[in-house]
Amino acid sequence: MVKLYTALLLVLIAFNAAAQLSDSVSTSSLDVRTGWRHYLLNDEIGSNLNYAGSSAPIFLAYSKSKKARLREWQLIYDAPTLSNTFNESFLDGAFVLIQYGQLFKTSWLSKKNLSVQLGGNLKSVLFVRNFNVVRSGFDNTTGESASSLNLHGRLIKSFNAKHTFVYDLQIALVGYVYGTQFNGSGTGDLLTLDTLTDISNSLSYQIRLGDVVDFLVQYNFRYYQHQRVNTVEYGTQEILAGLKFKFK
Amino acid sequence: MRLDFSLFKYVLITTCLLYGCEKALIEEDPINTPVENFDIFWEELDRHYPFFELKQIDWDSVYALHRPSISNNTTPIDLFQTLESISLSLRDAHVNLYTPLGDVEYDFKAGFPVNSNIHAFNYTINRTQASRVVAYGDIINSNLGYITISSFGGERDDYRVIDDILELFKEKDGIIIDVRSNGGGSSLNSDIIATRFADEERLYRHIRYRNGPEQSDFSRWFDDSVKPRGSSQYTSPVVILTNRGCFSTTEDFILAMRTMPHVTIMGDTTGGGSGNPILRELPNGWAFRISTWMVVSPEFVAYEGIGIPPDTTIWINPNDSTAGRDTILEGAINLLN
Repeated sequence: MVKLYTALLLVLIAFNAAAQLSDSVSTSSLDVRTGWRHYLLNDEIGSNLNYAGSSAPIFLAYSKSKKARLREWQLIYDAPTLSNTFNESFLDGAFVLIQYGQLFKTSWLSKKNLSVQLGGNLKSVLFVRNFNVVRSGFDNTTGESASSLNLHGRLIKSFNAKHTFVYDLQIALVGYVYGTQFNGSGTGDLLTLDTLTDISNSLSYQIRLGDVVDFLVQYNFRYYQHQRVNTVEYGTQEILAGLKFKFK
Repeated sequence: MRLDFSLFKYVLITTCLLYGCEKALIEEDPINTPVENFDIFWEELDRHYPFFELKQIDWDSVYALHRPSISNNTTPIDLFQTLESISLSLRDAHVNLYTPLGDVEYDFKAGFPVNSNIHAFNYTINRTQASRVVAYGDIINSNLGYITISSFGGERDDYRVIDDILELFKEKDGIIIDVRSNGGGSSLNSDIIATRFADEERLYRHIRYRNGPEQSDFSRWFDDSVKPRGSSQYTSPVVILTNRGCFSTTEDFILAMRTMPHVTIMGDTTGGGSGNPILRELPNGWAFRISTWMVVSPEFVAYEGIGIPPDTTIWINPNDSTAGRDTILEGAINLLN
C-alpha cells in the first residue's frame, strides 16, 4: 500500500505543478491508426497453455491541448484470433480499450526541444475470450473488464520543425477487475500494485506533412497481469501507422 | 543537453528491453514429451480438483504409483491407458479425457436401474415440442400438465418457452416436470425454469472452489438462491421426476426446486456430480476436464458421488418397463390426483 500512496502522491504533485501553468492557445487533434498487433496470452481459466496470434487493431484518439495541459481520449478496438502451438484449438477475442487522461508539461524537467509531461489517466479494458478446445468439442468464454487509474509520463523530442519523437510510459496504480472466475460467474476485485500489473510503453515518430496533417508510426508494448483466484496475463506488441489531423 | 542524452538513452534501453519481452514475462509453454504430459495432467488436477479430501483420495500416492512407469519412450497408447486409469479412479464424470485414441468418462450410472422415461409418451396427449429440449403435453384423463426437459445445454430461448407453457397450464391442478436422464448443461438455463416456480427467494446451495495449492485451500462458501422471475409463477403442486441420469446442472435444478413447499421430488437418486469443470490441454494435443467447485445443500450436505435422494423413491421394475408402464410417472399422477 505504501507504493500505491507514493504513486498517487506523484500524480497529485504532477497535477498540482501543472495547474500553476497558465493555459493559452487551444489546439485539437484527431489520430487514426491501424497496423499489426501480436498477442501472447495465458488465461488460467481458459487453458493452461499459452495462446498467441496477430491482429489488426483500430486506434482512434482525440486530444485537446492548451499550452501546458493536454486532455486525451482514446478508443482501441481489436478482434484477435489466437491459437496454441500444440493443436487446432483457438480463441476468438474481442478487445476494447477506452481511456481518458490529462498530461501536464513540467517546466522543471523540460528543456529546449525536449518536453516532459506528467499526468494520469483512467483506462477501461474489456477483453472477452471464447476458447474453442477442438479436441473436447467444448468451448468456454472467459474475460475481464479492467478499469484502472494510471500514472502517465510522456517525453517529446523535436528534432526540427518536421520530425518529432514521442515516448509514453503508463503504469497502473490501482484497478477494479471484474471477470470470470473458476466458479463460472463474474466477480469483481479491487487490485493494487501487488496484484495488478498494467504497463504500457510506446515509441512514436511523427513527420509533419502539412499544417493540419502529421504522419505517425508507433511501436507499443503492453503487459497486463491480474492475480485473483486465477491469474490472467498477456503481452501485446504492435506497430501502428496513421495520420494525425490537427485543428484549432 | 546532458538531460537530453540521458532521457534518450533511457528510452532506447527501455524500448529495447521491452521489445518482445512478453516471452520473458509469460512462462513458456511446456515441451511435448510423455513425462511432461503426465506431469501436467497430474499437476493440473492437483491444483484445481476439489474432492480429494471428500473422496479420501491420496493424490501423491497416485503419482508415486504411476509416474515411474512413464518415460520419454512411453507410447501414446500406454500414456492414454495410464491417464485413463487415473481419470476413472476419481469416480467423477466431470473429469474427462479427450484423445485421438478415445474419450474417457466415468460412468456414474453403471450398476443402477435406468428408470427411463421412454414410456411417458403413453400417458400424455397433445404433446408439443416447444423447443429443441423442452416438450409438454396433457396427462390423459386428468387436469395435469406434463413438461419434459431433456437437457440444460441449449440456448436461453429454448427455456424461455416455459412462460408460454405455464400460461397454458395456469388452470392445471398440478404439473409434472420430467428431467430423467437430463445430464445437465448451464445453470443459467435451469434457473430460467426454476424461477418460474419460485414462490419466494430461497437459498438452495452453497458453493466453494479451490483457491490455492493445498488440497484444503478453498474459497469461502458462496450462497445461491432461487427467486421469482418471469411474467408469473406456478405455485400449485409440482412433481419433479428423477433418475440416476440426472447429473450436474440438473442436480442444481433439483436442489433449487426441492426448496419450494409445493414441489415433490420423485423417482430415483440422482447421479451425484457437482464439479463445474474447466478445460485443460496437454502439449500432445489431448484435452481434459477437471471439476473445480464443490456444491452442498443449504444444510451443507455434499452430494458429489452420492446423488440427491428423492422425497419419494420409486423404481420401474423390468416387467413394468416391458409392459410399457412408467411407474414413476404413475406415482406422480396418483400424488397430484
